[in-house]
Amino acid sequence: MGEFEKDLRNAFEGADFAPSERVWEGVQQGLKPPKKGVFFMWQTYGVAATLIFLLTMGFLLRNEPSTKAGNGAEERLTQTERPEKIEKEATNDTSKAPAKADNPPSAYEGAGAGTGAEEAETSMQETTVDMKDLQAGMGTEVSSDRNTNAGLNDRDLTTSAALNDQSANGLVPLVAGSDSRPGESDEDLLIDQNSIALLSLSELPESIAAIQNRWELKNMVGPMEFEAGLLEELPAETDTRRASLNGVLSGGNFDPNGSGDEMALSQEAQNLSFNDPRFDASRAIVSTNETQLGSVSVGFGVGLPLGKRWLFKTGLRYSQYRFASTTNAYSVENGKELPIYSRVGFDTTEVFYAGEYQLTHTLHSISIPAQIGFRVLNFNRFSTWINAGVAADYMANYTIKGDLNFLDTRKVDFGQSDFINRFNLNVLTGLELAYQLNDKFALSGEVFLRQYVRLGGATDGTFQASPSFFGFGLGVNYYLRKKD
Amino acid sequence: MFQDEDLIQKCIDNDEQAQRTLYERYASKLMPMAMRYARSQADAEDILQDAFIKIFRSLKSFRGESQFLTWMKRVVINTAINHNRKKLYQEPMLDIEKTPLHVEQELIISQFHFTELLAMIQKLPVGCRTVFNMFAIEGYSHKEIAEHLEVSEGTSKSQYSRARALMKAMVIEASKVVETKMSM
Repeated sequence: MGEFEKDLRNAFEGADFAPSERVWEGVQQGLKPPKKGVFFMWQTYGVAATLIFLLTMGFLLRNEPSTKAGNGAEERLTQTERPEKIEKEATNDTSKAPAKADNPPSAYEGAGAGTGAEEAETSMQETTVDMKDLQAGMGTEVSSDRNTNAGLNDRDLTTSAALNDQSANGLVPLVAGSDSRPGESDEDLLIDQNSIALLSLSELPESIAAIQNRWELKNMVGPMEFEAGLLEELPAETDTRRASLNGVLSGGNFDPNGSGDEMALSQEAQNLSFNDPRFDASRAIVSTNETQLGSVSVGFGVGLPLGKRWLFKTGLRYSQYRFASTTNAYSVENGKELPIYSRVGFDTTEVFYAGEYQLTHTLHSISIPAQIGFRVLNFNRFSTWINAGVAADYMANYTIKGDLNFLDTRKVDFGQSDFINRFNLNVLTGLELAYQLNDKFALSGEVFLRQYVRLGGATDGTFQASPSFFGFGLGVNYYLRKKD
Repeated sequence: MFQDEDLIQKCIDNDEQAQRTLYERYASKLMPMAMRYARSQADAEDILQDAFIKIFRSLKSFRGESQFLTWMKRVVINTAINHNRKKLYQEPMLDIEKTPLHVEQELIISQFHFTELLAMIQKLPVGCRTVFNMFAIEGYSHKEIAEHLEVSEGTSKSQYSRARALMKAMVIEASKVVETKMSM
């Protein structure tokens, strides 16, 4: 250390220089804690909790049963089954005892072989179930024809309570009627517990599925016997087919379970009975379980700031929603081979059967969302949002494609659905990641859950399914400026 | 009159009056230091402001092992280095093999007020200025300077050599002006 350095150090020793007042003001400002009062925290956490609750409820309520439907059906069971059981028990037919609720049969005890094929055949052939009743009461009501048929024993599929008991064994035998399909053995007719469970009253949320299963079982147990002359009496071509394709959009409610909602398709369909030849595709095994393939959407959004972290969002989105199901039949219409997704509304001569194949349903819609967005995080140009609100969907197009090579894609005719009925309301929640391009525009990607809302519900209280599905969307957002 | 310990405790308890008192007691002592590292008074005030915010926020970590003023000076130096870091990247310090200026003339530093010396120091390039302050006035070794500024020890030495020569040249120049004024 030389003299130069020492002299310099001495020169600065005890140096004093007062800074300007702005330094202290800056220090004071810098020391102030961020303004996050208790209220703000409660507000933040409260909103976050509410949104999480809504999302959770969206999950939970996807297949929530309709209380109304459940009670109604149960009441009907009580009214229709009990007198019948009492009457049958009075006949002292001990061979039917295994089907009683208190004494469930073993897997094969209840089979047709064990009870007498002749009796079973007679019973099944004489059995008719009114379709309207099936709809209204989940098939728990039995038509007057059935009630008068003493030959129909308690194992008959129309007795749901008995089926419940039988299904407790896991596998439930079905009576092999004379119309068993070629190549099918008794074992083929065993239906696992899951299928039978669909028939139970406790599975009302699966009402659509239950009806289909029931229908299927009915078909296997007792074939439809068309009355002579009925075919001539009814027109060969009706509006049923067209109605069936539109019915899913009726009443302003949309149920993407295209194959499942067939019973609610039209008034005409509702009034048909099993004996009606228009159920010419009734042997088709249309799956009741759809596999959600997800949804993608693109669109343009407009956001209006409501607060520091709040935003009202609307815009226009195009969505494509896909789900899969299976069937084993197809029809030939105007020279085209098209997949059958429903057992209603096809000419007998047009229906053909194949091995089980997959149907891919694709729905295209234009939607107008109205959502409230809450900004959870913000880092540089990125921000994450939780959005919740509603959207009105206008169904633009619906196609069904079968995975058999020779099949054409079926394009659903929306001709019978008017403009209003093609709108469907849904609750839309999502998690969004936005990248701010500038102060007005942002690119966004969103994972969303869409839950369709049943506005009116079916008049008979049975069809209350409100389908929901996950999807992914991309969009461009434009942010309006709030005037101060 | 509060002792430093009392003031510190009150400042830790967010007593605004105590903070003001502490600031007034030391701000003018620390300001010349901030000015030595800055190019202007405005820059120096920015450094001092940030340094005081850090001081108040980290008072809890002051253990009394060194003098309070010494601890505060260290905070100011670190803050100043951080302020200058961007400029140091823009004007990287390089090894200077030959110092072009050799001043053999005897220098009389005491004839200058510290504000005049400050003006000279502020004219130094940012790298030279930082190293010069740290070595000549704060008393850091070149090894410590190299660690602080993330440069090699050789760079620190050459930068200091360059700064020292430039400072001497400026002092000589200023001395001539003073002598001229005196002779007039």
